[in-house]
Amino acid sequence: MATVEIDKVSKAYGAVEIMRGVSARIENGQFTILVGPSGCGKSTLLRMIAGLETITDGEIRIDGEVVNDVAPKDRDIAMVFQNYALYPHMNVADNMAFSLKMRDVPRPEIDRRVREVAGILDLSGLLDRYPRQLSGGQRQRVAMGRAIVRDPQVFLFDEPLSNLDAKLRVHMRAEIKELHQRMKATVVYVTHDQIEAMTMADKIIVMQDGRVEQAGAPLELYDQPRNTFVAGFIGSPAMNFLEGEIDLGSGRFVSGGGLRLPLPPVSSEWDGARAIYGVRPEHFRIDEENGLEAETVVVEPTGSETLVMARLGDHEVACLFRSRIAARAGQTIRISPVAELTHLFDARTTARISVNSSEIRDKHL
Amino acid sequence: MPTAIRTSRKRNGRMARLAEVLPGPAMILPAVVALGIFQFLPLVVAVVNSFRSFNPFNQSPTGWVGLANYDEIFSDPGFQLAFVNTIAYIVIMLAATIPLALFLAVLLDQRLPGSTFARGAIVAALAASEAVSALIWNQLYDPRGGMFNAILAAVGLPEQPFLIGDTQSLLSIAAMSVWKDVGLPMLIFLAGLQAIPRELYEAAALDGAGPWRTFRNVTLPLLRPSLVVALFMMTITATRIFTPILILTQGGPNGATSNLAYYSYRLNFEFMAPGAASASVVCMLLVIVVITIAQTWLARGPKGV
Repeated sequence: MATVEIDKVSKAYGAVEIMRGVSARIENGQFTILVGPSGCGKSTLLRMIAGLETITDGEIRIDGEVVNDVAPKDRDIAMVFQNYALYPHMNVADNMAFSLKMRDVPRPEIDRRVREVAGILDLSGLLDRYPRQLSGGQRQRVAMGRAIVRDPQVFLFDEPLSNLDAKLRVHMRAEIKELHQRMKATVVYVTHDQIEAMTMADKIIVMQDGRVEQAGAPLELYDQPRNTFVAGFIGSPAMNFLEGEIDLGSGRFVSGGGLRLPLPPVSSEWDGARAIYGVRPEHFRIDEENGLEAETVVVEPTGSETLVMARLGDHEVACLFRSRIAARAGQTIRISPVAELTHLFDARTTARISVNSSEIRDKHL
Repeated sequence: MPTAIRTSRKRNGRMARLAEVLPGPAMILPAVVALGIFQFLPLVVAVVNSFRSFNPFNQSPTGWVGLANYDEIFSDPGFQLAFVNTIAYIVIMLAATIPLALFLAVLLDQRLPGSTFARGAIVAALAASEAVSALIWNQLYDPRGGMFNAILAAVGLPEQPFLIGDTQSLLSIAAMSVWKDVGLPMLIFLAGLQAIPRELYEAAALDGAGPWRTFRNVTLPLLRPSLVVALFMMTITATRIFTPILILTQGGPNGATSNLAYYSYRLNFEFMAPGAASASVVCMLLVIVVITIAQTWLARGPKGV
């Protein structure tokens, strides 16, 4: 168990800087997820922690010790690779035992630990099999077993579920989370899937273009996104954005298309400023009296909820209702956003300017 | 009427099946014919001829002699020496080329500066004409003006009778063949190395394996298929060494460099004995078959690979 500190880490290939001054702190026993679109640098950062990539500038510390120049094998870190990287010529037991053999652990001790971990991961019956004789989910578990058997200071996961089908992914998600709670290990997990991040993480670090956009607990990121990127990336379906101006006099946001929407709390200095109005699909509600008229384009009932794509003035917005909506495509519904749950972002910097607090959210639950 | 329809349908069905089945064999037929005429026919002829006697003047077969040709060559000390030398060439060539090729492949796989040039140079030796290479090495080995003796003299070591010494000559021919042929197993290993996923090395690094243990536990086992192919190719190459012997030593001194390929050639073209030559060629084939089967068995992988 250990704390990982990433301190102003940069990485450049020649003149191309792919990571600039990234700082983050991964607490002891915490499940931290690095998330972001492809090419944002999340995998590179993970590989830097592992020691598989060099660091151009800055420091990475594990339990206070700078590891920039420590070889991967001396960092006491285990990694689960996206395509598992199991040794094809070794059976499951040998794959799991390999790291212990390399550390000259006595044979009886190796056998005991391999059997123990195989028991935890439900692999006991597969110890004699070779990787090619296993299904994707079983290989995934062997890859985890290989990491667990070592009892390392830090576990690294590099998009471990992306090669599995949807159903198995949900299952493994729960399994990994349960395993983490049981082992209380420090985990750094990379994914591009925000749902994976939201459901599993204690802390999410959202990255883009080699920078950290925001770090925090999943619901913190959902409720108080720092900018439009985080707001759009976290949450599914994604947040709707409308451009326009803040008019504090009437207490409305006036969109480019002339729509007038209720404002969330925002300080008076922003009166008249160009801004981006953000509202999550689930924060629209049907409002027969004061709602804005919207023409439905697509209605997708899933049983538990209804996703409606609707035309609101010039904008197409996604709305998610917990109730069933009778409307069909082409009909008009009246909707309004819950003002306190909407967000305002500076049109120039995309930073959030509205004041949102969890108290406001709690009141509406 | 229904019967007629049924039979016609049946016939149509049979025709359709034929139309489906025929194109396959038809398409490989030219290759099969070419291989048959140029590869298998000579082989069969060699085996058949090894049981026949021939007129030494016009080379026409004169009758069946059973194993007499084999008796004849087995009792010839020249054959025995050629047989032992053939095995010696195989052992020396495998012992030298396989580790050297593996070393070069691992080195080139590091993509150090100059590796493209080095790879080109090694493959160029492979592509060069055997006769031309042998002539170049003939000059290098020259006892007076040759480069090798010049080097030995320069560092104060005794000069060597490279091509005329009893022990040196076979090694000299093997050395040239190693230089010429090491590129083939090297290319096989290089392809094998590049097929090993990078993550396996990363996993091994995180698992705590140093460079040697990674090579021993990850690289080498995963190169096993390449190793089998390389051993097979080099065994055949070593058994067939011929041009350097013909050009550098003509089998001498006293048959010290002769092998079964060269011995068979001489029986046929100098001693006009096609029957005995064929018997010798069959022996050479048997050597290759026995050794490659043994190698395949020794290098067999666990069932997982």
